[in-house]
Amino acid sequence: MSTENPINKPIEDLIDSSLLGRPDNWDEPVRLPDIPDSVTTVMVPFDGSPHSESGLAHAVRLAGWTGAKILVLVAYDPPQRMKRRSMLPAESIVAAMEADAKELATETVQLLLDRGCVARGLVVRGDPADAILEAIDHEEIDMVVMGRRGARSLRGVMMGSVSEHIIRHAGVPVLVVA
Amino acid sequence: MAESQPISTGAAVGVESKPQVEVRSVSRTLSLTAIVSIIFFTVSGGPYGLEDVFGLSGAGAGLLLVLITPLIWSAPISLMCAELATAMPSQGGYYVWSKRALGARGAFCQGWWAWLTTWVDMALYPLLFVQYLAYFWPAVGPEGSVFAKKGVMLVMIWVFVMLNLRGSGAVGGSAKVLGVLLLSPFVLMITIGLYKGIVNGFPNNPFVPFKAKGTSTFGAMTGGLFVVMWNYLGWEGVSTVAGEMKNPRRDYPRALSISIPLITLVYLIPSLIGLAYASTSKVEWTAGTWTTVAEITAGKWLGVLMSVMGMASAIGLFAGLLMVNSRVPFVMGRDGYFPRNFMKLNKNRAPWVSLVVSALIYSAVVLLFNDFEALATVDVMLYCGVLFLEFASLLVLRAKQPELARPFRIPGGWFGAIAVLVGPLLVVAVAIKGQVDDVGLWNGLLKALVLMASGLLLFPIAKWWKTKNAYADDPTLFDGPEAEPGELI
Repeated sequence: MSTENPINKPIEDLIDSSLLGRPDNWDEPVRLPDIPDSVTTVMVPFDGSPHSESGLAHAVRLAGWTGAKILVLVAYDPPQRMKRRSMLPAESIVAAMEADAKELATETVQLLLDRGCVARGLVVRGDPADAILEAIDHEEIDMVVMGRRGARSLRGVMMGSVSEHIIRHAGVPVLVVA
Repeated sequence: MAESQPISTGAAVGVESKPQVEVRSVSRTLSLTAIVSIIFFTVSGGPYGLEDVFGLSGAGAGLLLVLITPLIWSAPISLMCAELATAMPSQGGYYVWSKRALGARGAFCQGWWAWLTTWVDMALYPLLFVQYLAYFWPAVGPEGSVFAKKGVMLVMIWVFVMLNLRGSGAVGGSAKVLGVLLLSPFVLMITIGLYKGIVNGFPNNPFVPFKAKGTSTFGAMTGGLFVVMWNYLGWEGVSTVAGEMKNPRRDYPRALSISIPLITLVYLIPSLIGLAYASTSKVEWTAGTWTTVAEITAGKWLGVLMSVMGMASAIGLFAGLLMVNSRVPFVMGRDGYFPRNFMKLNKNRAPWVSLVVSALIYSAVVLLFNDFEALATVDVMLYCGVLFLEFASLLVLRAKQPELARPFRIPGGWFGAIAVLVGPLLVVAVAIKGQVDDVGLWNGLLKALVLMASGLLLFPIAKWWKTKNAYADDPTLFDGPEAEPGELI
């Protein structure tokens, strides 16, 4: 009866492949998975900040290459009220925020139309991350192009940025532009 | 921003000329837990600012106030808000309620008083901040320099105005995360205090002394009443979520039956533990005292943590509120009540004139008022005016529009609707009597009445100004038909 000396075995056989940082399909040949043939709609979450403007520029370039339509999403989130802060004519403030968001979306879409893109706008009230994720499903978005950091940078520092949340939860490719 | 964008694109795929923009909301239906959470953070957010109740009333009387106020003050208000908010869930809140029930004058007064309240409110948070900061830097404490104290408060206001001007004001965005952080030192204090008390015995009876030194029983019961009322306000917050409840008739009473006891316990338990270790006869209980109480209960480290969280609480609330409140002049400008200049935006799209004017007002209030109790008193008095117009709206709408769909209705018909008014009326009457006895007629009552009267005096001026200005976008506010549910004001 002969026993194989473990010292002579390759290291890969002795330890779990995941410890080497290898994926489950390590032994299979490299392949190109099936993905949609074309990019039909690109969504750009936009808040007017320089980062989101960079995202917009990249989306326009992408649309130029692929012929995709661009959906400009502007989300506004009325601040959470704490400690009896419902005293204000809050609806007026919400209406003003919505008007701002609509104005920004309209200006942006007009800019894209002037550049020869096919574009439309979507203004959503609610948490920006939720708004983006919901729009990805409802609007059949193929790709998201967004700025790394929006206007609410302090919130980003405290809560984790919107772009990080989208990267983690979106079921479509996300291009984050710095 | 349009002209500076260096975009170049190759293939144009069809050209449309008119921008299409659709507007919608993120769809969500609130669970019971979410409703309770929203009510909790709208009304309470933790026991910060409760300390004066025990300093002014005494330990036992203060605890009694904490226990009974929600029953005769909060519960009736919350029922009134529930009926109005679910009948008109468009988030216009009290403004829509008043306009529909009482007409333009009532709505204007309510809006004006509420705005005056925010002036006082916004000065409370810088004050709370310095009172917790005093733990590290006694120069801004009660024995320190008034210049240092007011200087820090002004710096806080203007730093956040600068951040808002840069377009990054919403640091108070998540109530849940902030709330968990803020409550954590109290959880630690309660746990350690209970453990030490069970093992070694509690050093004091938390109900002793029942009254503050030198006060009568009536004086003790009214001394801290305004502060405890302030801590139990905010039930109108439900108007923000009424439209998102799946079944308001079922969900709202359930949420109230959980949130009222929850808020009471969040105030009561830390107070009981704190008073068991730091008696009011040994420690001066005033805003910021939780730091000393935490240190006595668990050690220096918890005092530090409490102080940091107290400052975080003040900053979080102030920053979030500044973003909302500072837009009021902007919105009033847009509605035609204020000059056009209030509508000016800077390059970051922040309403800079509105922000700067608001900050100047808050700075003036900071310079004028010296202590938390004085601010809370004026704040609550103004709020009472708003509150009783809300009650009036409830009764008028019951009479004028009995057919209005009310998903939640105060039980008991007319008797129930009038009965909910009795408790708050009684509380306000007792509080005013106590305040007048304590600080005189002018400081206790007339100061707030003069501020309220300004609303009635300003109404014709505002009406004239609005009619005169062509940019006013709501010409029907004063003479037109009543607002419908869901209509924006």
